Amino acid sequence: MNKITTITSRQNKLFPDLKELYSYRQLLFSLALRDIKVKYAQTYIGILWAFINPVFNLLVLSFVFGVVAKVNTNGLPQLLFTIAGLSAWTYFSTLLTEAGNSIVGAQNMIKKIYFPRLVIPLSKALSGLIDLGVTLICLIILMMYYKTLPGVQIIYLPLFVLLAIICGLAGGILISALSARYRDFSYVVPMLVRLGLYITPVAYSANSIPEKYKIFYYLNPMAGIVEGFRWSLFGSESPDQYMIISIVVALMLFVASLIYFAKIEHKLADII
Amino acid sequence: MGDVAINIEGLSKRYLIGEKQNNSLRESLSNLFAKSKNKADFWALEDINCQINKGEAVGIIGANGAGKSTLLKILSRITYPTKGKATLEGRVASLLEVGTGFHPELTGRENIFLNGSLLGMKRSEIISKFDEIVSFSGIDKFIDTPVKRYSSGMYVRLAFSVAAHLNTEILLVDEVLAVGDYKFQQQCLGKMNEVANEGKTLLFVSHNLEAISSLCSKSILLENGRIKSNGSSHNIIADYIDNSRSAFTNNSIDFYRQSHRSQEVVFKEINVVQNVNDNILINLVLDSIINLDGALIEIHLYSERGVLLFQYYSSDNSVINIRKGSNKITFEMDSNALSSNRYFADFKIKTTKNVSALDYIERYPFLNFVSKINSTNDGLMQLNIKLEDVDYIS
Repeated sequence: MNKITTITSRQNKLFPDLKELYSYRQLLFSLALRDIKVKYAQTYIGILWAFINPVFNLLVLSFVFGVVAKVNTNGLPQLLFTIAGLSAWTYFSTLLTEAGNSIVGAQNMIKKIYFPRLVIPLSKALSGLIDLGVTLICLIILMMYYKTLPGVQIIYLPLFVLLAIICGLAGGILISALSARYRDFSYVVPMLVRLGLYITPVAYSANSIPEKYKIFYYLNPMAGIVEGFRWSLFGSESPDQYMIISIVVALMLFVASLIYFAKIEHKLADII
Repeated sequence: MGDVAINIEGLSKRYLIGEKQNNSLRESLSNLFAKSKNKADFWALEDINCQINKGEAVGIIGANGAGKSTLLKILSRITYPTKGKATLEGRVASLLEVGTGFHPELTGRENIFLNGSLLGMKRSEIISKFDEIVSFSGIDKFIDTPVKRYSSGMYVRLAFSVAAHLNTEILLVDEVLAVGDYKFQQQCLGKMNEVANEGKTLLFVSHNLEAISSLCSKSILLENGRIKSNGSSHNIIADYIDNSRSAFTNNSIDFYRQSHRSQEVVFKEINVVQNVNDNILINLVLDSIINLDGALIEIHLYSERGVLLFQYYSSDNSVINIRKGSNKITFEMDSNALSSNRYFADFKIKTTKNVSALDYIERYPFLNFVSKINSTNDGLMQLNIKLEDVDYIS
């Protein structure tokens, strides 16, 4: 029996069609691969830049946060402390920015070819994983140098990576759909990223936040995720209980952004 | 659904015009309070009803703005109807533009995989058809070269090849033959003919009425968003040509402009006259807001039935430097080969760096040529031919 496609004016879906999305998984990889290849096209050392860039970023930022602006790190080497926070934050902010601009950037495709539009912002999560991987490898090498080996809680690291993906996608998908109609939203992202760096425990420890404010502090989903990264890498004491607030906020935001995207998806070609 | 591949019932699409789309939050907020002033409805399609049987090849014709592309966009699920319903049975592939999703930095090989997966092909499917795609495109030697180094012809050939090898039951094709050289156009038509003969359903939008009549047994004529007539291609095309005669009274350039072009350089006036020597003077006025060195102008001349007769490209030694403001450009063309007929033309302005046009006027009513040489010949060309000699061989 052949597949039947019915087209009507009532296309308002409540949630993205996950089955269809799965059937387009090939496209997800193709788009991610394209982004990676294009990034290093016509460079002499090619994919080596994927290593040089994050390493260089780490060196600069660690110097600023770790050497110039001294913070309390609970006795951890400054460099490790900062890199752990930065790895999660950099992945998140890059994903937020790239996914947020992705729909407007792909408008030619959207106007000419049918495919589940959600593939576009989703593919940005994959291409960013390379930088994160390189950063984590550097971190592991440094941890061996400092003889700071992770405990058993390292098994939670993949969970926090997944949460960083979800959190970045949540914001990115929402911004990408909103900025399809209102370009204003693409100007909001850089502001969010700049502000986020200060209200997230990237360069300082969340322990320095007074207990009574923590409940608000962790409403920022990345606060819990960055702390989670650090805890799974070198945690000694048990993780902050408020972390759960961040996780719930991230998941709720993700579901909300998927619902909004599904609502607007069929109109994208007309409004973009 | 039995024998019906595409069933369209009361399909309508409305766009809001007059006021431009709210592209910023402020506009949208202020519109909330100043409720819907100046807003005009524009029905790009209105109450379209038709059925297309499995294995049929159907042409869709009509003047610019008749709704042909909107219909294909709805059937390919890029945009959705305001009212009505369409049901399609089988896998659908649509080719609305050649080379969408191609990335200039990637090689031909990489683009085949990217474009294939965009069109919904599985990786295994692409691998199994890869050799066929490459040999059809005829660019074997350059398959590992970034496509930004390709000529526009090569680019189009590769892009069409990928789409032509999609394995689907329904194929929706918009004017894709407007690009590429004559030989490749024939190759594409051959491929589409093959598709139609394989029992697949083909919906084909084109201005090239010859291509429609050779490829499609049936056609649909759209006019102002409605189906004007529907039937055998032969009759529908005759109907359309009768209609298009009136097009010669509408000389508004904007009507023929392809939408979504850059606003930097635009054709402001096109004026075609026969001068005293019977030659054709083509006066173009281009308004520009930038200085642009190395602009290329393309003119494609078509017969009334949409057959491409002649292509002019500015060559390397006739590039034009466009200056800010108004630029008047004149071409002189001899008319010896023209017969008494109506001619249409495309005008494009491009740069040497980019394949897509900065401005594109499509099927502009070019000239209603009246040959001074009284000729009963109603062919497409007028050639000088005279009786030279008669020999009696006994």
